[in-house]
Amino acid sequence: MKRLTLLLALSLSLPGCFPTFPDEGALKTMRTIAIQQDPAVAILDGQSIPQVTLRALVVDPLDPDGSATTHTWTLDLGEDFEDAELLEGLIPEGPWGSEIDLNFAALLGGGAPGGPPGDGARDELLPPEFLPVDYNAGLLPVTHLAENDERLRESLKFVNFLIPDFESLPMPPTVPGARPQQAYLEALAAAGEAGPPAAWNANPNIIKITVNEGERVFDEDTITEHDGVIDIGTVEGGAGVRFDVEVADDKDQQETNVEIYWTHGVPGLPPRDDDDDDGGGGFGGFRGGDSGPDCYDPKDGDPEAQDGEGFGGGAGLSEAFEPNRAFGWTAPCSVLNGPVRLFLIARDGAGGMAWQEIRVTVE
Amino acid sequence: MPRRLFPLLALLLVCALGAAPAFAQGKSKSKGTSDAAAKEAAAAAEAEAAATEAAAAEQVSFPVALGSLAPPPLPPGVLEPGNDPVQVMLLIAIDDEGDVMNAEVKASSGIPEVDAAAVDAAAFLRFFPAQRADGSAVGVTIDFPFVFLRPTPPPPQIPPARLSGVVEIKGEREGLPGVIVELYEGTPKPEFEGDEKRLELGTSWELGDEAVYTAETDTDGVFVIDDIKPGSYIAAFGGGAYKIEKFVEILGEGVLREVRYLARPTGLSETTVVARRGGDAPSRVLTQEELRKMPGAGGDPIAAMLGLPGIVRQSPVQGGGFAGTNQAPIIRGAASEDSVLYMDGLPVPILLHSITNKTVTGDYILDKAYLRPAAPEARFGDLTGGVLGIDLRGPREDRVGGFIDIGIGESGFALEGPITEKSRFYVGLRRTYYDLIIKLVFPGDSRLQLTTAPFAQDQQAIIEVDVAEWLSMHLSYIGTLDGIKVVDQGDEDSAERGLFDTRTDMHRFTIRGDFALGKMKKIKNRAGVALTFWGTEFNALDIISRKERHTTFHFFDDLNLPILPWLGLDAGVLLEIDGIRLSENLPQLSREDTGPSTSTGQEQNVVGSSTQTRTWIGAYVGLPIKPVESLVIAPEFRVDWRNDLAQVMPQVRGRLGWQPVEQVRVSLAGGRYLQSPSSEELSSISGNPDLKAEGAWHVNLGVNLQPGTFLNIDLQGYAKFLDNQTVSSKSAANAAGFADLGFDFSDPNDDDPTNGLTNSGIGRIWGTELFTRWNLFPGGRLTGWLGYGLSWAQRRDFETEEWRYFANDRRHQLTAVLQAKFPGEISLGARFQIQSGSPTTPVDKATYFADINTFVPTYASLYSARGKPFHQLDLRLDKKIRKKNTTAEIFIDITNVYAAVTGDFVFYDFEYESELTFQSFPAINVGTRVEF
Repeated sequence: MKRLTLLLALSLSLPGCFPTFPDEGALKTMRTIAIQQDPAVAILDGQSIPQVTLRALVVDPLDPDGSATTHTWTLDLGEDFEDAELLEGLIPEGPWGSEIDLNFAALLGGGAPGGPPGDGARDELLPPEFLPVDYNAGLLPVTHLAENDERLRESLKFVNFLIPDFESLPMPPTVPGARPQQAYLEALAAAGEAGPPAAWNANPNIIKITVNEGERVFDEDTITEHDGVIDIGTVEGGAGVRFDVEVADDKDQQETNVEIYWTHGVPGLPPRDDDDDDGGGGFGGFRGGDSGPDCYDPKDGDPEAQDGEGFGGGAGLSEAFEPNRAFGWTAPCSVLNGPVRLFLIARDGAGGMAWQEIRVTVE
Repeated sequence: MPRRLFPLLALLLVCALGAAPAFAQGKSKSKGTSDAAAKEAAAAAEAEAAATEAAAAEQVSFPVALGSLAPPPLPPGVLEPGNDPVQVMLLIAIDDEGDVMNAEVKASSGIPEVDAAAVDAAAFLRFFPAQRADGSAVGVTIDFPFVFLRPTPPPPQIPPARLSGVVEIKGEREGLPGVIVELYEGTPKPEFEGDEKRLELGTSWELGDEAVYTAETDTDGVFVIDDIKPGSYIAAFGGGAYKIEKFVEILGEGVLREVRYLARPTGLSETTVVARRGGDAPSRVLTQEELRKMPGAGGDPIAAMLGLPGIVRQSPVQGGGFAGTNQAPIIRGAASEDSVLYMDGLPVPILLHSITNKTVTGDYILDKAYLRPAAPEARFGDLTGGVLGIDLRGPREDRVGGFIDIGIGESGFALEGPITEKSRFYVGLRRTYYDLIIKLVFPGDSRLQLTTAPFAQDQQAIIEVDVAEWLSMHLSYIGTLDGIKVVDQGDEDSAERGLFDTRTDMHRFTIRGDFALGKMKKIKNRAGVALTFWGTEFNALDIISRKERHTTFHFFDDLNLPILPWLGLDAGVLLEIDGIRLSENLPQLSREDTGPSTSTGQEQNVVGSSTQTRTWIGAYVGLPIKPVESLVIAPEFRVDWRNDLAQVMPQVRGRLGWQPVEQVRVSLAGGRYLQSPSSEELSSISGNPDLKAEGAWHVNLGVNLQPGTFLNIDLQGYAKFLDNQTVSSKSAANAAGFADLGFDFSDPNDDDPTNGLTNSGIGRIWGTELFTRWNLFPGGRLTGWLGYGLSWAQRRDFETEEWRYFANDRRHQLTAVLQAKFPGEISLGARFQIQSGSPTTPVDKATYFADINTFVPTYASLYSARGKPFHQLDLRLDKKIRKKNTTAEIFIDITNVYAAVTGDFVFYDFEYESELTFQSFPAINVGTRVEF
């Protein structure tokens, strides 16, 4: 509290000047910027083997295809964790890539994903003839290491899962295979009316990306998310590109935030010729990037630049403090060898996320 | 005038002043007075008698004496005292060259020694010779008188008068040392002649140009002026820290008058760093003027004191400044919560404005600001660190006066004066007006609104009434209010919500009686009650909040009783009843003993509210013993009891002062100190109600050398041993630690009733401090001081741990101040400070937490590194203009002149890979004060 208090106070009482903070959205070196669990929550009810994929988004601006980066996945349990043995084999054997499928079959006594557990299923799991009434949320910490010749990046992803709340069963069966009693059936019916478990969460979906206010529009049919890349063609050095994003999620839209990352260029848009009174308000607006004599260089600090109107950094164009749904990005003035990589990442605040990579070639 | 005329002028003067010569009677060539020469001269005289007579018959001018004609000195006792002169008439023969040829007594004085001396002196006379009408020189004999004055008779014996007494600070119980009492000859002003009542006032008299008698009060405030010529005098003292007082003293023959003068402070006088009494310990003193003119302190005395050795700077990021934080500075390595703040002899929760860091009473009404960095007297309880306090003065009683301050962002005024002959008043108000400036920055249509702009306000009202000669009643109200509130006004899609809101207020009402009892009014007792309403509120983003309200009642009584000339008694009691309402919605705050907390931002807040009443009773007794004049020994005992600790806390303390010679003073002080854990630590919400008192043993040794008025050297060494310190067993979480949590993040509201807090901590703090003051030229034209502190502060929270540094450890601290005065009452001052950086806990690595898109650091060993040193240069230039009773001072104060880059504002970037340092701006403060 004290630090937050004082930071706010500092910003208001101006006892000092801000140093140039690096923009979190600028990808200057190899970095992990997201790890997705798909699905965002796994249900371990013992009735089927869940298929859960962990997918790391590691970006190296100098290594577009990521071939120079190695990946390591481990289950990061503490030394005193009592059920460590139970979780052995959850992480598949290496070598690993940026994506792994968790081996819940190891936890559930064997079997194929989507199918029933094997014979080695633990007694603690709910027998198949019982349906859970309530769930407890759990987390499994998984560490991901991304390493190349220059950098080692460590990330932690909590794998979200739900297990039946045995204590919530109105009359727990004492004999495996016994038929549920009436009270249990009533509770089961009530649970069915209540819908999915409260702790349930789904990854958000990016359903629409509008480039430059309609110049290009990508919808659910063309958005690839993690499976591919959207190429929006070429832009001139110094030109700005605006992205408007629509997201669908099972959570409150206000809780789902979208952020933009870029390997080159700067956040925000150059000033519009016809705009005399735009921008300059609010917080943010930290700048960086390349420069050139013949194109707009945001390092000049043009007060007319269209950035920083809302919270959340210089790329956000939304007038609302949150969530951001509109972003500006300005191409670098210098010509690059390859395309610029941009990433729009949606996060729902509960561990769910989705992203879309966009490539732009600067002329 | 042409130079050549000077000899002539001298000659004329001698002629005018010389004794009148007798008529010419003859001439002698002989100069000597021997018998042979006399006979020869007589023969020659006879031979020339005819000629002489012929000459006498003609016109002859008088010879004119040249040179001094003063009579020769006489042996002592030859002449009796008297007013009538003694004359010897000589008959002198002068030749035509002007030389004395012979001298003899013509008319005796009746005293042979006188006659002989006259004859002897005549031989050395020289004359301009007599002249005939034709201008030729001629010898003559003349009568020549020598006049001898008798010694002045001694004046008649009149028994002299004597004036003695004591000078005391009004309302205090102790004498005021070092005061110059001056006696001026007094003459009644014409308009008051005959008005006996008015002539009792010193202001009704004209004073002589300079004092005819002076004396300086000793360490007890006592002065003596002997051998005073009987007459009418005005006794005057004061100036600077005290108002100039004038008392009429009609001293008749042989009068022995004993008086008791009261000095009324004009404002802050000094800060005594160690000593309670003048004789028992070295003291560091900064005058009122030095404190007010301290560069970088904005005219605030407490801010000025924070640069003294022993007080280290607290980073505004690490603590201090805002609601809910302890305002005491870091004194000799002690955490701020280990030290206490006092106002007018009572503990006070708020002494500084959180917005401006200035004293909540302003400087004008201050009498003293003091600092006890170690081993405070038994009067101070519930602490293991030091004491920072202020005492307020009483309103002036001579006339109505006050001040008006106009500065950048802040203004204030005060008015004070007599109500009746026996009552006085003071009212003061000060307020910042940053809000007006900031509203220009945040226009009305801005979404971000300062609904309560940053402001700080304080107000004071004091009434003093002399109920009787032995009792003065004091009623006061001291209030302060600080706040800032920022809201997001929202828009069509979002509602208004608070972003940041903090508020601090305090209102203290006091009724106090100052008793001066006994024949000499030397039994002093101060007793009273006070009621304080105060609290802090804090809210950020409607996510975290804290609200604390107190209603505190105090009863206090302090007695100072001289039992014997060599033995005194100091005793007192303090009762505090503190009603507290606390509500919290906060994340688990980081503590010094657990280091910086690693937060994912997902942890649950500690939420709850409580109401409690804390009662504290403290009592003390001290016996200052003065077996010999140069030695003071004061054993002291204190006992405290708190209801929430259910623990009686006895504490033995003592002090010794020795002044073997005038220039050297030695002090030794120490003892036991006990302090209650904080209300947060005892909170049933987030603390451990079963904690015990924290303890400390202090020892402090000091030597003060004053080789002359130009230099004072103070050297002190100290050690402090801490025990039973409240520490938390909760380790700082780190990235790996989160895995230990299994299915859930940490929950501070776990089942542990102690919340991890125990009394297992110990600590040790030791060091030395040097403080030198100099005054290089008369009139204080170039003064300054230099302070250096060297200290170590270490702690160990659990037996299994190694010693490590306190977060407040600063190895080196140096402050240098130089102040120069120029003609026209212009002064220029500079202050430079440099001190070691504070211990820091470096980041080993940072892990990216994908779920919250945040890098979470893993820290290395606690305080295993040290931050950048703090250094700063401040300048101040001021000019004072005086006109009768009004003075105006204009000043410009520049803080942090060269925009130092220090460890104050250092932050990591988002991935904890590099440190980002805020560069502090220079701050310019321009103000005007008019005192009338």
